[in-house]
Amino acid sequence: MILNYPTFFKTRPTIKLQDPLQKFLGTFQDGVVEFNYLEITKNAGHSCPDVTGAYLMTLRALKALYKDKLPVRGEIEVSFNKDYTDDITSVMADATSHITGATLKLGFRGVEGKFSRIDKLKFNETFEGDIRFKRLDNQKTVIAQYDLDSIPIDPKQDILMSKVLNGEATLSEAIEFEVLWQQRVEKIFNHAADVIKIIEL
Amino acid sequence: MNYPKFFETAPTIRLQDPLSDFLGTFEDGIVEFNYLDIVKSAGHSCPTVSGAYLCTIKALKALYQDETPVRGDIYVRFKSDPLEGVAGVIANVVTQITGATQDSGFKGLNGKFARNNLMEFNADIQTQMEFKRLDTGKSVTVNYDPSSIGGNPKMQELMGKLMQGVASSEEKKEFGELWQSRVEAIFNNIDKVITVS
Repeated sequence: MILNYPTFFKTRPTIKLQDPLQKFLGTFQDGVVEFNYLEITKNAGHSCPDVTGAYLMTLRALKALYKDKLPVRGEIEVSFNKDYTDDITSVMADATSHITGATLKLGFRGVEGKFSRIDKLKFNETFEGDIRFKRLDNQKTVIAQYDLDSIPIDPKQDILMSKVLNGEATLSEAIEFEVLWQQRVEKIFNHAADVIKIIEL
Repeated sequence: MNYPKFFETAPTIRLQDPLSDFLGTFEDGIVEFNYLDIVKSAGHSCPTVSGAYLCTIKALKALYQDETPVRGDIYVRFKSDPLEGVAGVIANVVTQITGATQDSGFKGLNGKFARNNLMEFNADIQTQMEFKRLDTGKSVTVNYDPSSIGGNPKMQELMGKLMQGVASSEEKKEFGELWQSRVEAIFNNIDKVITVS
């Protein structure tokens, strides 16, 4: 079946990792696994600036941590400075968990001390920025900062959004809202270098 | 990515996600998941992951018949504690398909589209899982028992070697193949291993 989604989903950078558990259990040859933005939006149930931000921060942070090597799934600790019940934090945490394999408590608990995926997502940590990523093999750490000030929201988007939510929007207004919403997401992708800063600690 | 061939013939599941529709992500909110999607996220393919995948598909089929299941409108209860054994692995698979979370996930807009508070653990139920449609209140219970699908006895011995780091590369490969052939056998015996009532 073919899903219909904004065409820019197809041209976004993908994230390739090595997953030792996949290799061990014969799932992927050499454990190499690749994620794309479409998969993350399917799981999140939507594409929005938070999901995009989490995706791009993970992409950029892993690049900074691993350079030309493949990032290792399950060997990355991901931290947030808010609680997991915070709305934006949990949406971002779910997206980064999907890519890195890190989970708080719901995940694979390991085989004889290997391959565990739990206790690798941390909340209420103290640091400045949005997401902190740490390689557990060498402790190298980076903080990702996400700032959307340079990508303003079209004022019409908010007006249309409340109309749709209140059930007062016409079909064309609902479609216009969808287009404006995804256009902003696309713009964020196109300005990834401006909206995301990676600070190496 | 190179993966076992049976992944491609495993059943897929299509749902309607009103949040995806609202935010212009998928046309009409139609979204489809396949076993590969689930495996990538879980980090592996095993009897637990395939069981959770198939239980969800069977339960939603029973709940929705010919209708398209609605993501975010399904409440899932587990008998087990979330920190027990493979409960977390199972829950993550169910979350990925249904959107339901306990306290993570999207919290909604104007009371719509919330994905949290849709999952419960330590539930007072007789079966392993229960799926409920929030629109109609209809629910089904699900049990999964793959014990009739025996694994090759060699698997245990090879796994021990792998864990001790003494397996040759041929033995590692053989273990992976035996492991996945059991998963494939589970897919080939869906009605034998899963009970929906």
